[in-house]
This record gives sequence, C-alpha cells and structure tokens, in this order.
Amino acid sequence: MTTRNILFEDLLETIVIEESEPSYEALTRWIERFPEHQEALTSFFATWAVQEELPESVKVDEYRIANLMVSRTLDQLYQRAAKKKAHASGITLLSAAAQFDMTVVDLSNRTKLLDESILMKLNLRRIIGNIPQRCFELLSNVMVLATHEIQTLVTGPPIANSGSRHKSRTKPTLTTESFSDAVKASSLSPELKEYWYKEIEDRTKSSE
Amino acid sequence: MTPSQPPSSQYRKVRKLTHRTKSGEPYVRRGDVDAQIAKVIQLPASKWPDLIGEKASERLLDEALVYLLRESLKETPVILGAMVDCLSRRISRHASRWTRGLDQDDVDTIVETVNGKVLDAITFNDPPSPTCEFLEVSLSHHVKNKTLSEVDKLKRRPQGHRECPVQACFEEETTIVPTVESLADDAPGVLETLVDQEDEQERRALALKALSKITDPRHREAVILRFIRDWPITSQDERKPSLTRHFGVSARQLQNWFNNACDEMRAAVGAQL
Repeated sequence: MTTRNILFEDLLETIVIEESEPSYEALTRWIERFPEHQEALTSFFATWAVQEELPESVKVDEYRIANLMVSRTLDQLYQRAAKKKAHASGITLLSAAAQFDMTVVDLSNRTKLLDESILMKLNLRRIIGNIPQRCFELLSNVMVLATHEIQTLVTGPPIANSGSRHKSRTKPTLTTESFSDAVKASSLSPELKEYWYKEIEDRTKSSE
Repeated sequence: MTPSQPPSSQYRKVRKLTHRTKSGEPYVRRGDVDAQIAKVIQLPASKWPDLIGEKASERLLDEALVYLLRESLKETPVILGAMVDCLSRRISRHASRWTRGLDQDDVDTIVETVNGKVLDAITFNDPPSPTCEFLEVSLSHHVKNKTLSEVDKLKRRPQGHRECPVQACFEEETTIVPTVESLADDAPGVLETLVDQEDEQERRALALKALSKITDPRHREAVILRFIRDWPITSQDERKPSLTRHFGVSARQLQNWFNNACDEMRAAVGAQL
C-alpha cells in the first residue's frame, strides 16, 4: 500500500464521519479541498450514492465468515509468535536441517531446484523481498516442517557469517539481495534459472 | 452485567486513546462506550465470553467489543476466539449494508476482505495504528468506509461486477403502493414521478422497485446520480464532476442510457398500475 493510498483512506474515514449522505454538494466541497483525489473521490461518492438507494439483495453467512476469521486470526498470531521465537533463539535453516542429519549439500541434492549458494544465502537471511512460495514448499517437503516454519527460518534480520573476521573500525553492513539476483548468481542451469524467474514473476503478479 | 466490586487497589482503568484526527482533535470514545468498558474490564477475562453470548443481559457495544478484543490478545485462544467470532459477525452485518446490488460471490468476497482488514488492524498493531484506535471510536463508520472502498474497487475492475440480482428481493415485496398515473407517461415522467412523490415512504418504495428493474448497473448508477443526487450531465468546470466525465461517455450516450432505463422501469412499475 502506498503513502498516497494511506492518505486517501484517512481522508475517506473523515468523509464518512462528517457527511451524512453522498450529496453532489459535499462531493464538490471535498474535491475543492483535495483536488489531487478528484477521480477517486468522484468514484467513491458515486458508489456510496448507489449503495444508499438499493435494497439488500443477498444474505451473508456471517457464521461461516466468523469461523474463518477465528481460525485465520489464531493462525496468524501463532505464526507471529513462532517467528519471534525463532528470531530470538537464532535458529537458522541449516541448524534446523542439521536436526534432521542434513547438510547444505543434502538439501541441495534433495530439493534439486536450489543450489548451495542460494541455500547459504537463505540460511543467513540475505535474500530479501519476494521469495517464491515454491521455494518454501520444496524445503518444507525435504525437512518435514510446515511452510510457514521454513518461512520463519529464512526471513528476518540478516545474520553475520559466524566465521568471518572484520578489521574495519566501523560495523560491517550485511549485504542482501533479491531472490532473482541470488538465482542469477547461482550455479543452476539456465533451464532452472528460467523456472525460478517464472515463479518470481507469477508471485509478483499474484501479489499485485 | 453485574461485576462484583473489586478491591480499590485492583481497579482497572480504561486505556486512553493516543491518536488524533486530521484536524488535530484527539480520538475520543463515546461516553456509553467508556462506561461499559470501565464496568466490563473489572471482570476476569474468563468471564468476557459470557457477555457476548445469547444469554447476556446487556448488549456489548461494538466499540467496547473492539477494546476487549485488543485486551484479549494476551488471553487464551478460547477467550480470544470468542471475541473474534462475535466481532466478525458484527462486522459482517455492518458490511452487508453497503454491498447491495452485488451477487453472492462478490458480497462474500468483500465482506471477508473487510473482516480481514479490520481484524488485522486490531490484532497486528504494536503500537496501535490510528485505524486500530479509530475502531474504538466508531466501528460502523470504519466498516462502511472500507466496504464502500472495496465495492468501488470491484466496480473499477475491467470486468466490473456481475449481473445484479436486486430484482429477486422484490418478488416477495407486497408493501409497495404504486398510485402515480404519470408512470404510464413518457420516459422522463417515470423519473420525475419518483423524485416528486410527496410521501417519502411511498416515493422510496417506488424508486427502489423501479431502480431494481434496471438491468445494466451502469445505467442504474447514471439514473441515481442524475435524478436522485442531481449530478450535472456535463460541466465546463473541470473541477466539478459530471456524468459524462465520470462514465467517459457522451451526453447523447447518457440520454440513451436514461431512455433504456426508463423503458425498463416503466415496463416493470407502470405495468402494475
């Protein structure tokens, strides 16, 4: 959501409180005050006017939606708590894999679609932004963990490499990159790279 | 709702709202909401689900329920789940008021989306956002705003919303008393009659019935904006909204829409005279 959207949503909140009905006079008054939102305001007032005049046409199954919301909210709160816990405890992808007696090479061989460089970057949470769901699913199948648990392990603040030494007086900044760049820099075959680019594109489209 | 009087040392105070409106006024809950919250929070959280059940002696206000839900985030899943369940049903009721003229799938999608957004604003904000606090000021206004925005988004999608089923609910309607002779007149006569009806209730019933018979949602919107909300067909002033600019069609095209709409309304309502 952009800042512009947030501001417009704030504006709508004020309008809905201050105006008892979607009159043309009210619309022109708000447009005078916020000319940059003319089109959106016009559309909003038109929708509001139509809604004021129509009868209720269909019934909402509020019990079904309530059930859905309860499980959704509890699940999200659980995931949030799990994420906090994982970040606090410092568990990483490879340390979790080690509990299943798997190394980075094993993970790479079993997933078949991820090479060691990508796995190392995921382990240190150096890949930011849109990571394809397929990536979590692959690791989830191999490690017998839920996809949201995998997601928790590989997202969050980047981790410094434990073996590295820094001589600089200033604190080193941890470099991060997008999944697309990580794939580009990997040793995967061109076909596999193309596969991941397609996944990234699909994810971007679906999140729009 | 009769909480036993707790010892004064354990008396819990109502949390104050911290955000301000755009004009700089602090958010303030209604007095009855504050009073109800002050009474309810003296009870242990395990008793809160009893206050929202069917046997509750007093209806918990929407905004008080939002307050309790925020407080329930630290409680057990049973308490939290009960609060979410009750609030979600209230949100659905408010939201369905603003999803008229849409089909069942669109209504369900919009009501679910609004539910999700409102509940997210309450449960996933630390510290609380202005929206989160505003819900304790007026839940219904926020839901109205969010629902209308979703309906507006749906309308602006390339495929628009699907065929409107508003006619269906009139099949069983028996309270309408159409007594206006001029409905049998020419097309604009139908619209003028609707606007000029002196008896408000009769006018509304007649207007609703007639509008529900317009099959194209864009034609219906044009009729409502022109003849009920007095939007001009065209305007030289670019800052003033007009129907031609809003729909992106010519005045002549709009006139055709009105003619089609009037034919449909006259065929439906006029036939009953």
